[in-house]
Amino acid sequence: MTRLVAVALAILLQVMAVMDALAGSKYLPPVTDALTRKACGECHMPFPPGFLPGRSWSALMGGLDDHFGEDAALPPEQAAQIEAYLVQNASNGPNGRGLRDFMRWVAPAGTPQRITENPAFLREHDFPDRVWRDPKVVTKSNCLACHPRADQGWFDD
Amino acid sequence: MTIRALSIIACTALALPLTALAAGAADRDAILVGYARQAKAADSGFTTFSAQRGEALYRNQWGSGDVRTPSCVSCHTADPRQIGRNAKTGRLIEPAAVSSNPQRYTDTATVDKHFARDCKSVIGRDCTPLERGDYITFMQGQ
Ligand code: HEC
Ligand code: HEC
Ligand code: HEC
Repeated sequence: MTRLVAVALAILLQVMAVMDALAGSKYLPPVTDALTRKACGECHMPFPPGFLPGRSWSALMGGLDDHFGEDAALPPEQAAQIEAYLVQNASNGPNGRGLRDFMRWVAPAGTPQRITENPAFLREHDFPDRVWRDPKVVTKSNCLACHPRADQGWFDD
Repeated sequence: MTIRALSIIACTALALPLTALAAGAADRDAILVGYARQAKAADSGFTTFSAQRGEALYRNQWGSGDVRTPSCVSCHTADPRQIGRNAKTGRLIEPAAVSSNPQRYTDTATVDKHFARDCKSVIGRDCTPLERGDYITFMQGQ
């Protein structure tokens, strides 16, 4: 009997996970590569690669010496390793997965540099000015201020 | 388990953080010695680093770098023993003061990288060896 309940529960959890995945907008696999987590998680959280297509990550990695006004340059061999990881796991990468409502805004050859300029992002985050002026938020790209589990890939709270 | 085994374990457990602290302090001293050598080479009149000058560097509103970061305080906060917040990204930063964070200023590569990057962001130029030594000396007393 307990076994039956356990199996039923397991199936239910699976179904819920699949439904979440289909709804598609609450979970994206986080960065798991240690070097990428460290190098790209120092100034902001390491953004899940599934938020952008591979060509966007390549463009970002090619311009680290002027990265949104920051010098985020890395030794070439580290940059190459990180780029490979990001491209593999990008929304269109062989191991990657994107959010459908985000990706439908990305033009077939477009190379957006910001997640926070995607119309899907702007629609989900259409908050009054005072929310963005909160000293704990600072900028739209500070996902962790509002999604405490963003580091683990969850954007549901 | 014998009392003897227990006491050995207890001693090791107590000694470990102590050796870690001592190693941290030694690494920091070595970095300061390096900056002192460079400061002396740049100005033969150099004698010692000053926590007071370091504090002035830390608190000054420079206004000559990135508009978002007029001061070290912009990210490391007015009280360096507190957790800071990156004024460009909002990400939290471990305290800059050695008393709150004994691992600070113990890895040459990290220290050099951040002086170069953060001084450029705040002042609009790199910090000199004198300024670097003053800053670490100030943080050691915090
Ligand atoms: C020196 C600090 C620093 C490092 C290191 C850094 N970034 Fe950034 N990054 C920034 C800043 C500052 C912004 C702009 C934040 C803002 O305006 O909201 C930014 C923005 C971004 C954005 C756009 C966020 C948005 O608005 O959607 C992406 C994507 C990004 N970084 C990826 C990376 C990757 C990949 C790495 C690792 C190779 C990295 N960053 C390393 C400072 C850094
Ligand atoms: C000022 C707070 C705030 C910031 C900053 C923020 N978000 Fe959100 N986000 C929200 C709120 C509130 C929702 C709506 C939650 C809901 O409907 O469950 C949301 C929804 C989302 C959703 C859709 C989830 C769903 O339920 O469909 C995604 C994906 C998301 N955010 C990603 C991000 C990313 C990525 C960042 C950083 C680049 C970010 N958010 C920054 C507050 C924020
Ligand atoms: C844009 C935000 C920002 C500003 C402004 C800033 N810093 Fe930093 N600083 C950081 C971050 C982020 C780290 C790395 C934090 C960590 O290791 O936890 C750091 C680390 C450092 C370190 C290395 C600490 C270590 O662990 O060895 C030094 C040295 C340093 N900063 C000096 C300065 C000085 C000097 C100024 C002012 C001239 C300054 N910072 C202003 C963000 C900033």
